[in-house]
Amino acid sequence: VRVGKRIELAVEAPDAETAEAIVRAACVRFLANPVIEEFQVHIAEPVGGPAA
Amino acid sequence: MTGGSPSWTLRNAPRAPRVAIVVFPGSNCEQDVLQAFACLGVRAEYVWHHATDLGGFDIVVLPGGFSYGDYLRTGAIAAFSPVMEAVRGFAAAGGLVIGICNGFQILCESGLLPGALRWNAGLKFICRPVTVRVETTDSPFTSAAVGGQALEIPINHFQGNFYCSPALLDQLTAEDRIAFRYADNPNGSVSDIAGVLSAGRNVLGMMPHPERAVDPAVGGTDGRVILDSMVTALGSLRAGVR
Repeated sequence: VRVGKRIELAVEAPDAETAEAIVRAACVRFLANPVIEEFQVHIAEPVGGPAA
Repeated sequence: MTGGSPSWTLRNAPRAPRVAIVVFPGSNCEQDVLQAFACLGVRAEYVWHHATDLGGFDIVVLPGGFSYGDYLRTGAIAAFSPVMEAVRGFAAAGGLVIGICNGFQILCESGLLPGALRWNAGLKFICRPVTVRVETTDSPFTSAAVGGQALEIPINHFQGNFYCSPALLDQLTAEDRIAFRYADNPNGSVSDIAGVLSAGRNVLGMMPHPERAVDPAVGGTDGRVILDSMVTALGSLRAGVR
């Protein structure tokens, strides 16, 4: 049996590439433990407009 | 180890050893550790997880429990607490750091020790005495023990299944950094590993709870040799033995 986690993050970034870089860095450093876990990042459609 | 001087080095400790027990929100073994050191005549002190200075301490203990609720992964959030920066500096300066159970998990998540602790094989919480063997006496945590000595010490964990890659296992073996092995592997740990040392040999992580095996009235005294080793290691320095 394998169990995983799905984590949804709302990231403020100027574009999808920057958002993905931010999330990947968070995965490597904190959200996943690369010693025992693998992770994938999917960028959802942008929501909202420019930050107020 | 016979002959020669130990490969680990300690910073100077010219007085009674001062022991810091780091208390995270959710730690629950800090009082046991305090009592265990008291059995040896050593007064330990609690240090809150907000502390940023461990100056003046000779030994830092990361006790068992459920730091920050162990959300995300065991020890993952504690690894980012303010005190861990101080623990990192303390370890880098040669101070003795022992992480027990949740403390071991925190040390692995912090990168102070290699590997990781997964859910127990069998997915059961295990709470019972187990027998571990002392695999090396070349460390300030095991120098008072005899090589191969069997110690009966309780375990109390759900995530004690030590994992490391085959390459890392080879390295740990070659560098004599496996401190303890289970006589009868209870949790699926790679190579029966119950405790590992840092490259500098001054940081130890172990899943069994030595602080719960110091009093003959409750659970025997096999854990004392580990605490004794630490205090003796500091005392030897004080007396100028090395």
